[in-house]
Amino acid sequence: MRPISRRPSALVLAIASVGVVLSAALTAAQDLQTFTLPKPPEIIAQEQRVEPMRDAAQLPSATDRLKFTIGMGYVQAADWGNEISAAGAVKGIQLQSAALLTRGSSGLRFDNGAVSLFDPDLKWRAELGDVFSHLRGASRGARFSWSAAGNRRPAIALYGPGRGTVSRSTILSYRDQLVVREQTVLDAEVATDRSYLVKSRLAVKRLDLEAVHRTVHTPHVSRDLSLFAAYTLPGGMTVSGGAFRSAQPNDRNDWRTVSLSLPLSRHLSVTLDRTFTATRDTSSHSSAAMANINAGRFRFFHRQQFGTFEREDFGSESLDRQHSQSAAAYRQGQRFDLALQMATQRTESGLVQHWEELQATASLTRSTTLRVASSVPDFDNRDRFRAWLRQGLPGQFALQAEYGRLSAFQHTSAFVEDRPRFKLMLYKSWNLATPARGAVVHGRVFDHTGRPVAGARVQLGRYHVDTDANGRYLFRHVPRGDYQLSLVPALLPADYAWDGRRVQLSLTPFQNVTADLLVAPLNSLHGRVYIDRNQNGRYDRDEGLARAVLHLDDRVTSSDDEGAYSFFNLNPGSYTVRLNTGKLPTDVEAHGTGELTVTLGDSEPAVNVEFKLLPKSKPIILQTLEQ
Amino acid sequence: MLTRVTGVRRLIEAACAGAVLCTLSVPRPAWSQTTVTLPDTSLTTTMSVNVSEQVRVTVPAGVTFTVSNIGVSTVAAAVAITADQIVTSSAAKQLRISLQANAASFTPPVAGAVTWSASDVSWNAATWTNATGSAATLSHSSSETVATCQADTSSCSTIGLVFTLAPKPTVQRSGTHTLVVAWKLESI
Amino acid sequence: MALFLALLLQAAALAAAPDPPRPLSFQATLDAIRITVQPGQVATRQFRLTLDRDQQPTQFKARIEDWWRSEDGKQSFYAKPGTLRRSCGEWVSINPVEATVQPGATLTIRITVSMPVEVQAGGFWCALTVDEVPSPLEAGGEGVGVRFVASVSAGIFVNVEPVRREASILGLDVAKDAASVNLRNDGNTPLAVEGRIEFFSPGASTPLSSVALSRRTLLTEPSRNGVIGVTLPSAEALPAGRYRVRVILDIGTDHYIGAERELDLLREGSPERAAD
Repeated sequence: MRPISRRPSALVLAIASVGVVLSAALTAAQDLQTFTLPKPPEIIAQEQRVEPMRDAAQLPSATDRLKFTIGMGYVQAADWGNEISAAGAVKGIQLQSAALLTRGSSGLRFDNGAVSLFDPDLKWRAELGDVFSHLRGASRGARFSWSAAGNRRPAIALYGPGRGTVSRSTILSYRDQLVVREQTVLDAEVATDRSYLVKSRLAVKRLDLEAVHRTVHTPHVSRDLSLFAAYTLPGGMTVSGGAFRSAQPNDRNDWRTVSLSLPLSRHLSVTLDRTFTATRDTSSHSSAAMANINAGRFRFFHRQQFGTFEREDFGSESLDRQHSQSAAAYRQGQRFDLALQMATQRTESGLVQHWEELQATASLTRSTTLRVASSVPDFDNRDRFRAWLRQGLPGQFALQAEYGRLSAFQHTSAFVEDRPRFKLMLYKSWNLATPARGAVVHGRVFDHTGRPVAGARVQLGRYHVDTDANGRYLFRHVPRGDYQLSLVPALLPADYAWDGRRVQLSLTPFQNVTADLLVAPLNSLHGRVYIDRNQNGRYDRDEGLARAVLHLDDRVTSSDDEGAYSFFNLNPGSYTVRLNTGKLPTDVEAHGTGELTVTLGDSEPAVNVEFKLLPKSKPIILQTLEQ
Repeated sequence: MLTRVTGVRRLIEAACAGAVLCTLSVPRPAWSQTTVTLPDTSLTTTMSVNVSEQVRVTVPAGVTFTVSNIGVSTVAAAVAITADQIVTSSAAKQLRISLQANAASFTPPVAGAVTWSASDVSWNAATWTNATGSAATLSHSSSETVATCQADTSSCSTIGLVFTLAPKPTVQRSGTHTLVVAWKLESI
Repeated sequence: MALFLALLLQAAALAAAPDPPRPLSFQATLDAIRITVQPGQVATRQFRLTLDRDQQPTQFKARIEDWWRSEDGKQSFYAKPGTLRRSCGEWVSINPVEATVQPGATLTIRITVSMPVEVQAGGFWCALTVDEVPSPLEAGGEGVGVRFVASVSAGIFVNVEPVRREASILGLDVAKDAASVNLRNDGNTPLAVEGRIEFFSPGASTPLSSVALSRRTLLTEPSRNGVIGVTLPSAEALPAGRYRVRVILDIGTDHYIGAERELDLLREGSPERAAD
């Protein structure tokens, strides 16, 4: 056996050399150090800002909004109170509610509040809680009104004793209104206690008339009759007058007035009125002049009234009475408002009553509002000082603090004085998404052969969506209104043309509308211009004529190096292709008229629209040579 | 008790219109009979404007080589090209201007006659405003760079682009020899 | 009288003669069309071209082509749709294909991409080319001449998720007045590459000079490789010497990629010396 050689063979040396070279190459490449660096988040956010309005559909909102607020508060020397309010819509029905619950010596009490539901489409309204009517006044009860044929708005109501009213029995009433062109022409209400009210109003052009008659049987019988008329003269001047008479078992009221309102300029208006009032025991005459100045940020009001007051037990004497009232206000945008109000009343006896108040409202920040009122110039008068502060907090909380006299927060016990108090309320709001109401609009986009068109953008007013693979589109929750349904021509797939016919839709929330849109499929026409040199009646290689000019309607094109030509984006129909024989080389001529009529169908292009040319042959004229 | 008469209220309301405070006491209904929809201030509308990348170009109609000797090169008069109103989406993006012949060779006056090839046409690295010029030879198979506009510039131009036609001693037919050449602007 | 008639006839002939070619001026959108679609989806975009008011009515013809560039980026190649494996050209239809644009008017070309139901994930591309077409009725030139026409090409990039963007830096070199970066697209979609090259003096933490790289599109075929070159600042701003050279590239992902190496920079006029 031959021993193993210990000398490296040439092959091994070669392999070793290659290995050294490779190693050197690797070494050279290895000194290129690669790495990655994170991108700053703000740059990533900027890059990820997707182009709007490209492929995203813009559809009606499937939800409505309802804002719900609960407040809980404390009133100094009184009790706890809860305020609950809601405003918004649920399934298209508008909801408004507000309620005040208090807890005092009488226990938990519903102080005031009401719930109102209104359907703007079906035109019905339901109210529960504090309800007002012209017949009954402020009451507590329930009422339901709806829209009926003949422009009527009937309503049924149940009225109970209202807060702060004299205790009265609970009654049921029926009311009907006749509304013509948004005016309540006739309004009548009758109740189970035989009370009734009839009211009529007519406002046409410059004339405004109103008449009201009311008879009330509880708590006692009284009758009211009032008439009012106003006429606007050219220039904006208004003359108005009214008369009122009320009769009750032990009293009567008479009131008559006439006034003249003069707009002197864009900023200044003046009103003059003369009024007579009388009861069973008293009567008074007064004249008054009022001026309103509205100049940008400044507003100014002044009323000066003077008259006489007579009373039966005064005998033949009468009291002169003067009353003046002024108010001035300054407003700086939405953020600051300052108002000063003064009033003075003087009688002949020397009695003078005077009061004034300065009120300032400021939005200190976007979430902080402060309102302060005080007597002027006696700023130290705590009895006249009022302050109100509202501070928005994160998480839709808000803190509200008030100091001052309360108008009616709680029925206080008789021995508790009405004095300035401190009140603190904490509110929490929720913005709830509620189901929305709306119409449904759906349909298809397709061509003459019934083939669906995918990817076509359908526009409905401000909404749009692209058709799916079956050419279908769908809009839900479309709000009431008038819309135009159309395609977006710029985003119609290139193989189609649309004639621009839009569909007008007038939508109500409960409608389900089907509307299809038709497009025309486009196709192309292809052919060739060739010189039939071998006269075999067909195109052979190298027979094509380049730069032949062809016309189709107002389009023009030329053949390529192989004589081929095309017309694209054609509606189905009949076309005539014309060869421009004037542009042909002089050694060829067209076979035929140089025109071909082609019918382009819906689904396939037209091909082999060929123009055959023939070489021109010049005649040979033999001449006889002279000998 | 109700106000004495609706008309009084209306009278006073008319007088008080525009005033800040009007304390002539008029009882008001507890609840408004009109539904008012308050704006939802939690929603905001963002307006945005999309500006496309764009350019406005002016290219010459053509150049003519006055060939008096087919055995030597012929230089055409200088031509001007302008690209302005350039709007690009990125400051690093550059507009590239190139040329590509629509055919491999000129079209001779008589079919089949010898004529110049597209590659017989070349141009200089002209002096450009806001661009870098490149000298190259015309090709039918690819577009060759004439100039690359500077990044983030709104215009680039030249008035001194000179085309040269190489000699072609084998040309035998006088008349019109034409080649259509496309100025390529690429945003790729 | 005869002279008058002759002049009249000549004027009439001139008036009837076709117009010679004139310089062309127009405004065109340059936006590359980038769409992310799902298989089976149809998407439409637009390309706009506005002819200047002082121009003659001009005919334009549009077509879809496959497109790629040489590795050094100096040459562009166009071919018929379907030449490349990752071509989107056969899925694209356009309208109008050919149109005559009046002065001041805008030509709007609708570009519709109709994706097949079965398609691989990744990026596909092609190009819309809009060419000026010399009017077939135009008068021809005389002598030897080149007829220029305008042509605008806009890229069409179609992505089908999931899209993978990856790249490797293969080399970083500097010559006397130029630098170049050699990189490879390792992903499944074209990459738009931007970046800069920084020169650090030994021991420095801030670069002495930073040169921006022009934006390049790096495809996946016919070659995944590309070389981005840039001219260096003047020798006064960046003198010859030894530097730590760093390149940082943005390839459209949530991070940058980079590479660095130590190099000897020779400038024009510097004595030759073996590099690193």
